Amino acid sequence: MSRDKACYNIGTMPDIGSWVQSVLNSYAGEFSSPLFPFHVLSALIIFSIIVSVIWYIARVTERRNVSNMLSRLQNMTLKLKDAEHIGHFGSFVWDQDPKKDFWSEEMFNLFDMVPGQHPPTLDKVMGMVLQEDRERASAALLRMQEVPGPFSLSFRILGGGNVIRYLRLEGKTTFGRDKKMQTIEGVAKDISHEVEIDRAKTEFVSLASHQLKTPLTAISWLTEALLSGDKGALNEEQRKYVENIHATDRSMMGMVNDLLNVSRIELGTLQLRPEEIDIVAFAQSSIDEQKQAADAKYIALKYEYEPNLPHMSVDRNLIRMVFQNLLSNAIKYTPAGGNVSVTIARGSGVQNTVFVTVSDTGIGIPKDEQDKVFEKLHRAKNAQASVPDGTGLGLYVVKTVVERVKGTITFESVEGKGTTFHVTLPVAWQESMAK
Amino acid sequence: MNKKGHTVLVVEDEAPTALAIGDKLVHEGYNVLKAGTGAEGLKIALDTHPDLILSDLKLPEMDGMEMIRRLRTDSWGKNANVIILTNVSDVSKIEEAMVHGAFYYMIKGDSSMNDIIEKVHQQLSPQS
Repeated sequence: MSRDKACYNIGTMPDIGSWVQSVLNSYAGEFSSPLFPFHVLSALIIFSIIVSVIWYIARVTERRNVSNMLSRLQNMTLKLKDAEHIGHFGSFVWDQDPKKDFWSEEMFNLFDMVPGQHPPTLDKVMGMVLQEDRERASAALLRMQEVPGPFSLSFRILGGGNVIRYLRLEGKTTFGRDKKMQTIEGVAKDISHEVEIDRAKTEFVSLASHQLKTPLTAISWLTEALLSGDKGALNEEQRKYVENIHATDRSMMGMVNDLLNVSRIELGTLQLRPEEIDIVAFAQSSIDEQKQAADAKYIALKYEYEPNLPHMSVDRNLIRMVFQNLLSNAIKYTPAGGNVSVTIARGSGVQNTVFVTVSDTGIGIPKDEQDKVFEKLHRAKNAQASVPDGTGLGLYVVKTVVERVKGTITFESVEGKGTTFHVTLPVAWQESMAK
Repeated sequence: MNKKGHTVLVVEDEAPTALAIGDKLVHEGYNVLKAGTGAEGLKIALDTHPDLILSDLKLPEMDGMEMIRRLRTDSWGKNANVIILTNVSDVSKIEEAMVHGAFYYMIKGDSSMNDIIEKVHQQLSPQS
């Protein structure tokens, strides 16, 4: 390639080209060899300059972009902070490595702590939970650490000015490759206002249910008087009508009692009075109460119990709710001619417990609904089809009551074949403070 | 069982409920007096000295518990027979009623007419 051609090439960028040419010319004496490729050197220098300029422009642009991004990020952080403040929620991360623990500013505010310090440990947080909720919250916390996946946990803390604050923690636990807890992350929300609204609703239900009991009682007694013949003999048709009014009234009274029990449980006004009872005789009286309903469907009610069972210290009304709901459900959802059986024995696994089972040959609980069976107001589809009227409160009441006395309840069920509930109750009186 | 001559005072503000109880007691052979408020119940009780007072708790003017409390300050009233018949099922109320010497505390919604009559018989004819 000739030198002229090289000059022509670099001439495409006249200013820089001529400057480079002049520089090269000044060294021409030193590199006078006709073999030295001045044109290549010139091209390399020009290329380097172009790259430098582009790099410089890119750097400036990048800096501007980074600056914009930072500004946007700061903006978003401020907005998130505002959102957390307005929505009364804070975000948290507890990591296997405590250096990675994080609490947002609002998270500190929720716990009445000064923001900016290192987030407290889970144990320290539990120390702030009200005594009455601590046992339940600690158990849930342990579960959060042992089981990966989503979690939800509510508890109360004593906030500033001795005001009780209701908090709900929701999030997920992630496990590492070593199958150990890696992080617990999520949000904590102040649900005090929601709890207040719920309480007002429950109080309304309680009041309404209570008021409903008065006219229902009057209907029951007046129809009872008619059926007794005190007001003269009824003909067959009149008797049938009045019997139906009476039965419907009793059914409504049952629903109202369910609502009242639920509202009392939720309001924490279910006052308990433990007393010594003979569980065998008590179960017998509960079975006797349900005998009429069982007979009407030709359902055989069987009762078996282990001899010499210890007397229990329990609240009579509480245990009555357990037997009543389990037995009435069993009868309600068992087709005519089926079997319902109750057995009572000493608890095998845990000492000083009594083990109660209530089995039926009823419609069973569909597999895909079994995890919702104790949820408030839930009724399985086959239960709704079989018995349209129902509140979906019975099993919720049973589970709540059993847990209140520190017992346990489980079940096994096959759709179309039947269900068995297993209840374990402590012999000595124990009451969970959880409401 | 001879119930003739026994007077029962029914203190109940709900007319249909008072009607059902009153009629049943009359049918069973008791003399029946009725009051619709706690104040009226107290007055009739102190004036007529019934053999038994069957009283609700939630009453206008003066509630049933206050009526019993005042009754117990009277020389006759301190030993008067009282059965509480109410839908208030709070343990604290039951305990308070027992402290004031109520013979029975019955929950209306859980009791049939026959349950009530049985308790009245027990109170007025304890030997039978």
